[in-house]
Amino acid sequence: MAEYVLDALGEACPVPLIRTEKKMKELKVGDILIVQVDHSCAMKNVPEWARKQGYNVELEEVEEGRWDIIIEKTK
Amino acid sequence: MVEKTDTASRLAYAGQSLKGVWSQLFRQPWPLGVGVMAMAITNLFMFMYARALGVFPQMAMWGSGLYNLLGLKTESPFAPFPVQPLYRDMHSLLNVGIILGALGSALLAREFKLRREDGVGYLLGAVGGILMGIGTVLIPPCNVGGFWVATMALSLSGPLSAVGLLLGAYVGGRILQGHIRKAVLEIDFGRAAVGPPVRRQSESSQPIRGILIFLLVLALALIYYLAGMPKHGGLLLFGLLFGLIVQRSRLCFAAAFREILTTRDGVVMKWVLLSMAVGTLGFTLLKAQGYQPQHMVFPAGWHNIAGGFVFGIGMVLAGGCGLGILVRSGEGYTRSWLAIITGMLTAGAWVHVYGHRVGEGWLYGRPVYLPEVLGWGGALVFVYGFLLLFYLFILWVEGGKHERA
Repeated sequence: MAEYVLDALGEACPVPLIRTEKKMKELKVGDILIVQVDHSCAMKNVPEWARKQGYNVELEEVEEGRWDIIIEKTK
Repeated sequence: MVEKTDTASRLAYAGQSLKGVWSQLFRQPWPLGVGVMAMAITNLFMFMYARALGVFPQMAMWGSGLYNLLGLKTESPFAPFPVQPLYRDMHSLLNVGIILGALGSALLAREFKLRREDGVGYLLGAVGGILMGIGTVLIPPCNVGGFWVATMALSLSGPLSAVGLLLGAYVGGRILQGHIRKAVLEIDFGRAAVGPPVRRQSESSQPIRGILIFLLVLALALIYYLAGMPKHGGLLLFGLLFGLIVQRSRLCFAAAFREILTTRDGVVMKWVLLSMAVGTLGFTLLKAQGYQPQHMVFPAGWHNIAGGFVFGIGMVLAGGCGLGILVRSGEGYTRSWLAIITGMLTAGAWVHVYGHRVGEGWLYGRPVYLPEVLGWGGALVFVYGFLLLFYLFILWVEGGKHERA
């Protein structure tokens, strides 16, 4: 049940999504990955991808134009 | 008594509903399908009003204008876009509207942020802009104008440029993936989060500033109207609408091409193709009645494919095509600012380098307007056949994903 942070701040599409995909593969079931993004496309396509995989996803608005995507690896 | 509570509950209901609509429109991202359809319809309306969407030729004009200011005399590469002051050029005002629309819409949603980047980010933006600058004079003109609109406008150049754009976007995507592979090795996996993220609850002043931006643009449009330049004001407002639509829906034509071959996910392009199926009918109906038949019909030839290839690499590296970098520059992405500058300076130097304007000289083929060659029925069959083939191609590529997994 570890918690990891992926800093994808300042990165444009599709970089945050590709990095998230790669990281999620390395996580164990039950681990949580927090992806920090400030790209308005990533705040849409990263949660969409994670939901499609069946993971639990939450989107937190940290400040203006800055989001934390919290993904729990459920399987 | 009964009447009163009835009114109160109705008002409460209306207030609650309006709040929900506001949130859906200006706070939550729009579904992709809503975005592309809004684009297709707005584009048709703007064609009826004056012209269809295209953003790069006027940016090339800005570049040529800047060279002239610096003392280097050169012509604007696109003949219908002669060098003139920005505020007097209605096409430039369309672009200004797009930037301000994206800015206003990002502010309303509290998404505006000045995004600074590292050196690699700026390098990608600059190189991407240069490649798009070369691509735009070769295709011509850009991804949205040269592929999306041109195809709907029954120009042979549209489907041809799609081939180049698809391959270019793939190469661009591979370059980015190579860059990421290096970056992944550098991630520090031990850096765990310290406690839950702090959510800022304080009231943001961004929505107010967003409303001010929209009011400012409306006032500008009114000034143009009163000054006897109504089309200038009108295109500024259309730009505002495009900026809003693209910012809200995150519609990205660069991603549409890039995702097909890099991640084998064609969902964005499928929506784009559907929007084209709708738009083609509108363009055909208008053009068949003799309305601007040659509008957005471009030279056709090998340069569509070559230009599309160069443009395709550029738009993926820069993180957006011509329309995309305008919208993102409004959202505060400094990489896009740089891409606009390098793109316009590259395209703006074309006449100086090549000696002729776009569409003239040995490089370009003749404009091929499909109804002239195939008749109206044949032109429609050709375009819809192309859309169907592209769709089937995407399915075929997506199908390969499961085989490998």
